[in-house]
Amino acid sequence: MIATRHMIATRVRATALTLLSVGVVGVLPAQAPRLSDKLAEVTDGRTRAQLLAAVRDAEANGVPLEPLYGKIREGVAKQSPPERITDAVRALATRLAISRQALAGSSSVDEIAAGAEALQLGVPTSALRQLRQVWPTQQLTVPLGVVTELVAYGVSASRATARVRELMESGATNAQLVVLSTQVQTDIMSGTAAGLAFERRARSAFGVLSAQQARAAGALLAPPPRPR
Amino acid sequence: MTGDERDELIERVRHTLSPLPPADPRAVARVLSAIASDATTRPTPSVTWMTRLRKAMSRPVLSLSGAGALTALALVIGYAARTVPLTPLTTVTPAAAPDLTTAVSDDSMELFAPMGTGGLQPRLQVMTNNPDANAPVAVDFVFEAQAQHVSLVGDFNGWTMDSTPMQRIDSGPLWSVTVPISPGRHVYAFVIDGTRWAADPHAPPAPDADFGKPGSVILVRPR
Repeated sequence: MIATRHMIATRVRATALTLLSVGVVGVLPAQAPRLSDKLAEVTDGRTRAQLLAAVRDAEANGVPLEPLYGKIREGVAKQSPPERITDAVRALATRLAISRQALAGSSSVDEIAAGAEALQLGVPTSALRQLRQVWPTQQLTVPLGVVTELVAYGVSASRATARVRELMESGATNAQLVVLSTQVQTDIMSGTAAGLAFERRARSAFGVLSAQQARAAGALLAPPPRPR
Repeated sequence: MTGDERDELIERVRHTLSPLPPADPRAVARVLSAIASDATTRPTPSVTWMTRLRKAMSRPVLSLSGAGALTALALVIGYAARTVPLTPLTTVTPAAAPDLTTAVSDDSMELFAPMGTGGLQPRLQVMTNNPDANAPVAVDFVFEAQAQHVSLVGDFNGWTMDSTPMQRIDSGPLWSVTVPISPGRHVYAFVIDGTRWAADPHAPPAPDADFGKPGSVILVRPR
């Protein structure tokens, strides 16, 4: 009887301790830095409040916040006026939301940010959708970056998107797309017009991809070697 | 071959080719019964394993307090784990070219070199995206400046002024740093002595519509 009571008391004490420890852990502040901590570099109170509101709106829309924090730090580091930082953050939040939607609800921060950069340089939203159709599961961070850079070189957004999409459909890899972009840049620096440089390099790339595919198909169709 | 020998051979052939006699149903039942009883007395290893597992699961391993303690421990470990900064697990390959502001080595240019350049043939193979295509790639940045201190800032380090200081090469005007960067397009700049922003003269300029400071673009090629 005494032993049973002792056992019950021990269990009650252990359970109470367990519940207490769980409660303590729950009460502790979350590890993720608070929103206001992320804006600590913004000293102006009014600007900080505006930024806080912009970030919270973006969060409610499912927009990734890290690019927004990066934009705030960039503005602070570049000693930009507070209102300019606020405008830039709001504009980026809008672009990120559009990019995320166009990329079929992508969850990749890098991909969504790449789409937002493309939009900033004038790449239309439809281009993001088209590229997503070609690569529904693969990351579009690199193709989007290549299109953005081609547009920055002076290639028209429609042509850059169309050719990059065709190259992706023909089996071009991320690495090949980056090399293509670098080659176009080199040609432009040598004096070739952006549109011409891109068209030439894209045609050359299609030739290489066709040869690769023909060779691969030939290897598949070739009869097995005859035994000696 | 004599007649007797031939008869014996024919008999052996006939015996071999003749069908088996019909089985006695009672004998079949006995055999099946014996197999069944043997299976219950000597379980196979998989059956034994399953039985042990089922017993272990049905046995109360922990009391309420024990389960609670384990939950608390898991929460504490989870909380502690979240406070530890995560570092990329991927091994970063050393950059190949001395000036990697373009992040593309010379040989990779042959990936799309024009037909008939000679360097193309060894690369005639269907290439696919590396499944680890988003892994960071080591990129070397080199910059020339007469300065006391030069740092690299960009979207890859969150535009943090002091996080990526550059090292002076041989006490001269050249500064360098190697940074792991995820593939894609990135914007960066050099900050000289903490005040002056400079673009990379060997990289395409980055139009900074937001803040109007000079910057450069790098397209990092996946491995």
